[in-house]
Amino acid sequence: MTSGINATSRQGNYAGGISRLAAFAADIGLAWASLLIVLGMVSVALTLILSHSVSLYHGWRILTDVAVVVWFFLYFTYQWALGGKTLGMAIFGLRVVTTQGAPISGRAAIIRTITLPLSILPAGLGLIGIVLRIDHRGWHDRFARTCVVYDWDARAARLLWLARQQEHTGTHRHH
Amino acid sequence: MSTNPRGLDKLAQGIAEQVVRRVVSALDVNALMRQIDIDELMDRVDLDALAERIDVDAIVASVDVDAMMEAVDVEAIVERVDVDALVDRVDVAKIIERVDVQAIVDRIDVDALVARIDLDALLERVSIEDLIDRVDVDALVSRTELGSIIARSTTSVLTEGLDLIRSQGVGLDDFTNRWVNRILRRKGELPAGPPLLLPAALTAGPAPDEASP
Repeated sequence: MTSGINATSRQGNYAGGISRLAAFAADIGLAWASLLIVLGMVSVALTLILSHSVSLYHGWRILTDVAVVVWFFLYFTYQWALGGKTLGMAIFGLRVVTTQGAPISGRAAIIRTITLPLSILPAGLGLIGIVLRIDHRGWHDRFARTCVVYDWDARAARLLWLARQQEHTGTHRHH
Repeated sequence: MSTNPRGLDKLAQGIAEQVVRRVVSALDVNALMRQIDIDELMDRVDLDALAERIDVDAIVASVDVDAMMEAVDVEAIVERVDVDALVDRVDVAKIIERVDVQAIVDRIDVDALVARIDLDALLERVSIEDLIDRVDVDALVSRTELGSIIARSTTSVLTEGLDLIRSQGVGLDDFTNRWVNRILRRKGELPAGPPLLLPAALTAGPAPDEASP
């Protein structure tokens, strides 16, 4: 951890495991939700064109599986390559950068997306580094030579939140 | 016999004048001049000695320059000057190089100059709308504190909500990291982030390895 560092802002600091896990969970949910919406729209379109009910989840299983993989690949790669963050990461104020702190390249985004399952699949072994390492990097980070940092003024916001909590508590006591 | 010297002098003067008048009238000056060898005469003249005897200062002092200048028809002279040809021969670049612009600027009384400007008249001629159209607002916001001021003034419920979620995450991150460091017995200054994103003092310790993928 970075305790002992007298920073006035946490912007640019290595992001911890909890924020990253939460962002990833949000991304999975958003990716699934958006995929279901797209697949639903395609199903409706096919039903209208073919004049009979089409269920992509049952009748077109292989195609749907391929679509899921492609969708997830595009979801993460495109967003990381574009701005270094996915929607989930944006919610939690995180950003992927190179180990030096520069914006990541499209190539790094592709490598990171492809190697992400390698970190997850062996019982999450590749994710242990996110918790234990000083720089909080998992296997996919090391493959792509990236790291994840806070992209917002975390300390200022936390202090603000704590101040609000204190104010709120004080108001309740007065009442 | 008594002699009157004054009467003699007068008589002699009268005779001399008569003689000279008659001699002069009898002289053919042109014929005489033709007999004179001017070149030989000039050779015999010591011009240097003559020049030394001339008081140039006295001559110059006696010249009435003003009267002389008044007599000059300047207009006529100027009309005869081919100004274009004259200007073509002037190396303007060389002249400009020799001009001490800074010294000229230093001599200008800017306050007096500004005081003479009619700002109202000037502003009336300025099209504010055109001016605003030319302002790159994005660049302005990104280069100044204006962006953060706008951001602060437009803090919405959504932003507060996001701050709340993020703050919770950071709090839990800190809690987890504290325990991990305690278990792994990490002490001292640890790198807080990538070197490009943090001041050098906060990235103490070995940077994350670029060489070990």
